[in-house]
Amino acid sequence: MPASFGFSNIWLQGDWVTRSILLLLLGMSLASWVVIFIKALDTWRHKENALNSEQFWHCTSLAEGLSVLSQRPNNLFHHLALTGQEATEHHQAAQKQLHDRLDISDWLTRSLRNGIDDHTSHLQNWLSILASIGSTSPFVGLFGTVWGIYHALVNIGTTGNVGIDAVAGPIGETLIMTALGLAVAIPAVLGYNALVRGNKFIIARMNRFAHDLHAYFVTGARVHSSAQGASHVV
Amino acid sequence: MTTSPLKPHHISPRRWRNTIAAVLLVHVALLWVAQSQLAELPASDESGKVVMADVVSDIPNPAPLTHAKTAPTATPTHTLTKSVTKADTPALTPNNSDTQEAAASSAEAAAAPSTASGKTGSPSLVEPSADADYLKNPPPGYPRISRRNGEQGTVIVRVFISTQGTPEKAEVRTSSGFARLDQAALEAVHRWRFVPGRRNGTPEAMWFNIPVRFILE
Repeated sequence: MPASFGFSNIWLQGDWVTRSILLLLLGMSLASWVVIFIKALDTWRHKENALNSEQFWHCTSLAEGLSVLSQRPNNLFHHLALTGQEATEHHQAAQKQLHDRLDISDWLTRSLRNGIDDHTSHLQNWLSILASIGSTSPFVGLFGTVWGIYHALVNIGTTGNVGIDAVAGPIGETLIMTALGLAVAIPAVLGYNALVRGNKFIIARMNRFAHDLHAYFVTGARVHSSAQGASHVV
Repeated sequence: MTTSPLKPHHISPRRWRNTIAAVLLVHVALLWVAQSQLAELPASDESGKVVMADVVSDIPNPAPLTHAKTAPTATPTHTLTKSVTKADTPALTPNNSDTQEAAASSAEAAAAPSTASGKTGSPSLVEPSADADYLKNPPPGYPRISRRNGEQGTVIVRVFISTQGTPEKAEVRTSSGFARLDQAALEAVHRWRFVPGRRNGTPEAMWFNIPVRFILE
């Protein structure tokens, strides 16, 4: 259906700049939504795992706690507990290396810190794409609009046609590109903010869990933190 | 889907694939919806008396392809033959340009069967017509690009009208010189309904030529 209006019209009339801008906006939109969906599911799972990590401390033995944590797929907290366990075992087993000069507390802190850092960087994967799309796509759309208006005006100048149709039609059409840019940017920005907030929660919970693990592996008992149960990020 | 706990951030290729496919589908659907919505916008400037395609009647003369100038026999021949048309196109003015009727029908000129002129040669052949009030045939919209580029012309669309009055086939018989206008005329005619032509009082499927004029004012 050759519409006398709409996207197809812009596409048919546009030069390669207009077309590449439209394609770029489409690609940006696809990328941002794919990232939002993939990351949202991950973040939701990690949050569930974070809330569930408390179960670990209700277990009677380390092995049982690990098996409880391992029942959930992609569990960062299971991973952290394993890291702590391995670090402790390694520290006890190895006697001939530099880190023997470290006491168990420092060694554990270092291992858990590394684990948390790894997870944090993984949690932030792809988020830079969202941030970039959210901040640049309005400008991309705006560029398309300005380009289109420029050509429309030049066209009016050359043809000498100053009817309202000749002016309003092309310029109105190019404004769609600004609208598209905004339509791409808004979900990207909102999604980025939501995901960053979710990540903060997960990282805070990882820190708390790592502190408890540290206390457990060093002293054999969990330090009862007063903040336990409160989910506020400090 | 037990992934190793040592790769808690692993995203399976299947999940990537499904997500990408779903997002792509939604985008295509949205684009399609947006396109059709925009396309169906009642362009306000097309409702005025600014630009309208004009429909005038053309009188086909269904005659067997014998190149004989004789009048066709009165026996209903259901073998459809190419209609040799006379090239007289009485450009009828819109019959309701002054009335208060809706603008949608203002450009619809009467495609009156000029059987009274007696040129058809067959005493009881009634042409199909597309101008009866209840048919509500919308005139073709003027393609925006064509209007901008100042494309004008007359398309003669050749339609095969069934006994039910539906256009079975439609083709451009004479191009206006602009593919866009031809296409717009074809699409409009495809949506129309007709009063089927009659031979000796019985409806008969026949070819019919409809000139559609695109004129910028």
